[in-house]
Amino acid sequence: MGSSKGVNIGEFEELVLLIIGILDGQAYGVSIRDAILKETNRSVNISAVHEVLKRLERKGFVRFEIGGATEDRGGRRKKLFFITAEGKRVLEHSVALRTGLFQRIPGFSHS
Amino acid sequence: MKFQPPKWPDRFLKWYCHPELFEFIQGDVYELYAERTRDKGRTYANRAFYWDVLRFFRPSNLRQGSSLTQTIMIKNYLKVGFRNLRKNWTNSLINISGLTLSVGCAITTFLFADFFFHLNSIHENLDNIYQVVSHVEENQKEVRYGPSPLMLSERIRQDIPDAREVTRVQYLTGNVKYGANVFRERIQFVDPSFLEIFDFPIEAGVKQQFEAGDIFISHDMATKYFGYDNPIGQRMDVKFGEERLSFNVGGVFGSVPANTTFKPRLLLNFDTYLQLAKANINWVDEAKATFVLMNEQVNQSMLSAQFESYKKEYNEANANKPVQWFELMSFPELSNRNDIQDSIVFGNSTTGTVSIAITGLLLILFACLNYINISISTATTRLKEIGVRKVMGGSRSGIAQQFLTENFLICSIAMVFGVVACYFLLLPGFNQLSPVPIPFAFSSLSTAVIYFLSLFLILGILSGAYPAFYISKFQSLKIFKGDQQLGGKKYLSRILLTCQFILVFVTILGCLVFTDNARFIKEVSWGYEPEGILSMPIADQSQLELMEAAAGRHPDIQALSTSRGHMGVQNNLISFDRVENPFKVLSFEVAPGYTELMGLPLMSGRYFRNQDQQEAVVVNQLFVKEMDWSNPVGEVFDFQGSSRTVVGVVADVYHVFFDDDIQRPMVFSVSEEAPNFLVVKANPAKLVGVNQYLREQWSTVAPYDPFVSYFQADSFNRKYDNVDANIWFMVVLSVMTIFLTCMGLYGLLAFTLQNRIKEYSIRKVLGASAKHIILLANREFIWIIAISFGIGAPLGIWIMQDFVASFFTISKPLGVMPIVLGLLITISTIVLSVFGQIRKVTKVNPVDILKGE
Repeated sequence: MGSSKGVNIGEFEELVLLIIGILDGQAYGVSIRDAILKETNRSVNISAVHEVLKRLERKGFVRFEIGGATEDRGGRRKKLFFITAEGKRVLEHSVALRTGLFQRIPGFSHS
Repeated sequence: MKFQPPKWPDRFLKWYCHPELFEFIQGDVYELYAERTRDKGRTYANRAFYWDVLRFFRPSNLRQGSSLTQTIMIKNYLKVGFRNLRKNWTNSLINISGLTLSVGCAITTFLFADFFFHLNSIHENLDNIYQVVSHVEENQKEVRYGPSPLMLSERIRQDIPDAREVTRVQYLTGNVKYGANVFRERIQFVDPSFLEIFDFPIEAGVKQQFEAGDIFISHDMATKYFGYDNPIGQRMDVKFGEERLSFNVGGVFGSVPANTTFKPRLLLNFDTYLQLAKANINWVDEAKATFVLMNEQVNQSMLSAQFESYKKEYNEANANKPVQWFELMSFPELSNRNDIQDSIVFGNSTTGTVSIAITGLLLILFACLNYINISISTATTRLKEIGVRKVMGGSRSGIAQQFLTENFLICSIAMVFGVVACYFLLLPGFNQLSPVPIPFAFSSLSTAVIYFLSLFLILGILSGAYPAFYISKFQSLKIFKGDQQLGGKKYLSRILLTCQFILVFVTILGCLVFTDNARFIKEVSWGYEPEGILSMPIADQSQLELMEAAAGRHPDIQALSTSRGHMGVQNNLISFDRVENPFKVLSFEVAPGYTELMGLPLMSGRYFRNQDQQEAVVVNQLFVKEMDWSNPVGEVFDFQGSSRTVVGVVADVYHVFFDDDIQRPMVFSVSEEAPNFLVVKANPAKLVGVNQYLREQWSTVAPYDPFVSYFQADSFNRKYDNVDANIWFMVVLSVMTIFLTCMGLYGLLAFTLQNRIKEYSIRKVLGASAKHIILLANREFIWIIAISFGIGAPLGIWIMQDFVASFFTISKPLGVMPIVLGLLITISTIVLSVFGQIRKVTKVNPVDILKGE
């Protein structure tokens, strides 16, 4: 997966990946959705979050563990997500690409 | 669990969700539900829960497993379905066209019903707008009238705090002029509160600034007079009678939806009307309508005491025509009634709408039942296929599914064609008859979606469920042994077919009787010769005199006269208030030559002479009969405040077309007041030239007023058009019923033949003739047709006689022609529809049928 072609990642996927990183071991469907709402003021449907998680998992950027149940969940367990090494590399690549491009815009002052 | 989410979506989730994902998805939606219940309450959480579950319903979350084979099978079913469509193309054609027809009708009727149930939805306060309707007793019957006295609105405004706004509405006709554009228009006079009560959208100008010198115009009017110019601030001249006024265009209304039945065109302030008509605020002068916007939850009974006192005051002022009571009628009810006299709100009775909706449903039901018959009988050719599928491990539900899929295939084709048929054929046809053109539009998008979806499901299940489950029940062993019998005696189908044929005879005979009468009416003599008579309404006295002089100069004009009111064009119906049994008469004030010019046949006495004064009158025979005179000429009676002497009696003529009062008592008196019609008589062949000449003269006499003229022979034309539209509608209805019925006949016959083909073959082998077999196969249908003719024909004629009587006033005695023709049409259609099948039975080689045994 070394080539830059394979690490394509969508904007929303990137956002979810970042959020998973921030939540640090507490990332599952509802908490990710709430964090997105809090951080970006974007209201997304829970099913959209699940869909992205499935995609990230398929691409190998995240892995999951089965977590504990709570009363609110009616005793259903959680799927807790973690960033994999691959995921971390994609994030780094994407951030570097952006800052690199951003800094080349003439006439912008970068502090 | 503390918070119990709604059960149904939860079950739905469990049903569709992939088991591996289920726990986590359900956990998340539960958690969100609990969170939302705490934050935003139960209702919100419930709604969000439904939405979430629906959003999770996507391919990646669906249960896998058997669905793969199912998709493959559906593909197979569709393919087999298409092949069957092609193979039995006659049956498919009949099925699809029958269903198409009923779908088209169902959509059309639904559009119609939807339209009329959402009339005037543009007004936000629709339910709280009331019109004051007065109940008057006439001939022992209570009649509702729209107009109300001017004082009433004044009193409502003062006495009833719950009446938020009150407006009066009145109409006058005037000549409206802007630049070179001059047209004769009906102008509405309203109070400024009119614009608060009704929510007509304003395109330009300010709603709140409807001043006395302002005119508000509709979008259409703005285009008509101003083209692309901005009308705001321009001045329009309006001429009422001889008075010319100028108004400032203060506002333009935006376009309103088609289901708005009461629209503003040219609005002027009501005070202008009061000045023009010299009307006073009292209990005698009237407004065409008084509308009140009430506060919510105010009902009639709370105000009854108030209205009782109004009634008392009104009846003191109008002792000769007392009202029973004043009713506050809400706007929705107004538009569901067509029995209010002199109403300005278009009304359509709900019963009509409902009966049309029921007709639509019946059509669907018939088409589905026919379809069931046909599809079961075609299934006989596929018995082996069913057997083989079962032997190969096809389950019953699988086979049922196959038939349902095929059925839905046919239904979707029929749906598409049905929409096309509705759009291009049925709806335009319907609109010919409808008082307001109905657009191809639903009241809302969700209505359309729900309607089409449920129509599709009802159609698919109603027509497909029975055959699918019936056929799939067959046992393969029986099929292969050849023991499978189809259906029982099919009493239901036969009864149904009889009902359908009764309906066919009712509609066909009804249509023929109606057409027969319509033709008769067109040919019936009016009692006088309308050809060659031309009339012009002219309000202005000096213009009338100039035109009279101009007409006198034209060589082709044989006679000319003037009148106040004009037969067939402007009929003044007034009540003749004699002490006992007052009755209504048509009163025309005419110049002496009028009766002679109109060619009213003289029965006794004489026409007017030039020296006749106001006391001389000419009456018609009905008037004489009403007065019970044996020797009318020379009789003296009081009429319109003075004593009159009958100088002549003319024959009764038809002054309007087949309304309730095609003939009425008439009184012609010599005019004292200024006439408002110029009437000329010329050779009918030259009349168009005369009209052209008068038009040219008019443009020099009155360049500021539009030219209006009426050919007397045209005065019934609008009614003729209405009759033609009715005939058209009935023809379509009969064609549809006969088509659907023959479809049913075709199905049942196919069924019978399929079941008895072996019997016929054996008979043939034993020497039966073709005639014998045809008779044998058709015996039951001959009975069905005979019975339904026996019931349907008298029923149709009876219903139609009633309808004709209510429609035409004068009707023709029933002839043999419609009955013979109706029978002929029906029988030939029947023969045509069964001919192919019967031929097949007589032509088939018995060996082919019997060798299988």
